[in-house]
Amino acid sequence: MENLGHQDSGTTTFEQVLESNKEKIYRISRVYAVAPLEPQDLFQEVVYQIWKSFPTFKGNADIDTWVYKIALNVCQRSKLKLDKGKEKTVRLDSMQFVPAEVGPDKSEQERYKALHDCIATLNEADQSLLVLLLEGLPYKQIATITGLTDNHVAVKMKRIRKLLFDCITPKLA
Amino acid sequence: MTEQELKDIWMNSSQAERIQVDLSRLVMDLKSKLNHIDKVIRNRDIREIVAAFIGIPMFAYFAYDIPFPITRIASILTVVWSVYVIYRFRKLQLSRKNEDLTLPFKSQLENQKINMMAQHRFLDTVLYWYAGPPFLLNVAFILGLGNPETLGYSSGLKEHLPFDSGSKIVLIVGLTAFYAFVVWLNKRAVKKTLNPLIADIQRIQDELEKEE
Repeated sequence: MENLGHQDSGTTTFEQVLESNKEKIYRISRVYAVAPLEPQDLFQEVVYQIWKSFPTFKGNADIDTWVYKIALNVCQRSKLKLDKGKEKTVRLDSMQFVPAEVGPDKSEQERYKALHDCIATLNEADQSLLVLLLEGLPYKQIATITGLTDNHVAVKMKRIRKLLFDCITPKLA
Repeated sequence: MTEQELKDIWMNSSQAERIQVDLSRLVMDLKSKLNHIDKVIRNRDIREIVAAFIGIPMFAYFAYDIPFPITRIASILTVVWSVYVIYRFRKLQLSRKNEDLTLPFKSQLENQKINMMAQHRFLDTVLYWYAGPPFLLNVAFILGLGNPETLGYSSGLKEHLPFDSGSKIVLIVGLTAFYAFVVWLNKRAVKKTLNPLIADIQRIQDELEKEE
C-alpha cells in the first residue's frame, strides 16, 4: 500500500475525481444507506474504496464508469452487511456534511421522498439499474457498469420504468 | 410526470447537504483509516492462528520428552496438524483480500458468492479438519500414556500428565465437550450468517439475470 501516497493515476488526481464525483456518490449513498448506517458513512466508505483502488485506475479509462462501479459495489456490499466487523465506520474528520443554505423546499423534499420510497419497493438488482438511469447514463454505460448486455439492460429498463411510474404517479398526483 | 422530471428530482437530491472536503487533510485521514483497518485485520489474523502457533513448540517438546510411542506419534501428528491449520487460515485470509470493487456489478456479485462459498466450506467442514483430528490425536495422546515407571520416565512434565484412569476419563470428557462446542459454533455461523448471505447474493444474481 506504499503507493497510496501518490494518488495521481495518469493525468487525473484522486482529488479531482472526488471533487467531480462527490455529488453522485452522495446521491447513491442516500438510497443504499440502511440504519444504523448513515448516508454520510456510506459516502465516506465509497470515497475510501475509490482512494484505495485509485492506483489501479487506468488513466485512459472512463472515470465516471469506474466511480459508478465502485460506488454501486460498495453500497450493495453494505446493504448485504458483508463488511460487518471490519471497522469500516471510522469517521473521516476531513469531510463535513453541512445543510445547504438554500436547500430543496418542502415540495421538492416530498417529491424526493416519493421517489426514494418507490425505489425502495424495487428488488435490489432493479434498484441498481434505476439509480444509474436516474443519473442520466446511456444504456451502453449502464451495461458496462453492471456487466449486462445492452439489450438486456434495455429490456429490464422497460419494465423498471413501468414499475416506477405505477408507484410514483399516484403519490405525486 | 415525465422521466426527465424524475431525473431532475434525483439530481437535485444532492443539494440537501453541502459536502465540504478538506483536501489537505483528506489523504492523511484516509491513510489513517487504512492503517486502522489493517491493524484490526492483522490482530484478528493473529488471534485466529495463535493457538496453532503455540501448539507447535508445545507438542514438539512433548514428542521429544515423553517416551510412550502412541503419545509421541500423537504429538508429532499434532504438530503436523497445527502447520496445516495455519496454512488453511492463511489461504482463507488471502482469498478474502482479493476483492476487486472495480469490477462490474455482476462480476462482483459472483466474486462475493465465491468468497462466501469458500467460507461456507471452511466453517461447515471444521469437524473434519479443525475439531476432529486434534480431538482424536488428543485422545490418543492421553490413552497412550502408560505407567511412567515401566519406561523410567521421570521428567518434570510427569506431574502434569494424566496417568491414572480417572484423570484420563475426566480429560477426555472435557475435550469431547470442548470440540463439540467448537463444531456447534461453526455450524451455527454457517446457518445463521453465511447461508442467508449466499441466498441473498443468489437472489440478486437471479434478479439481475432475469429476462423480462
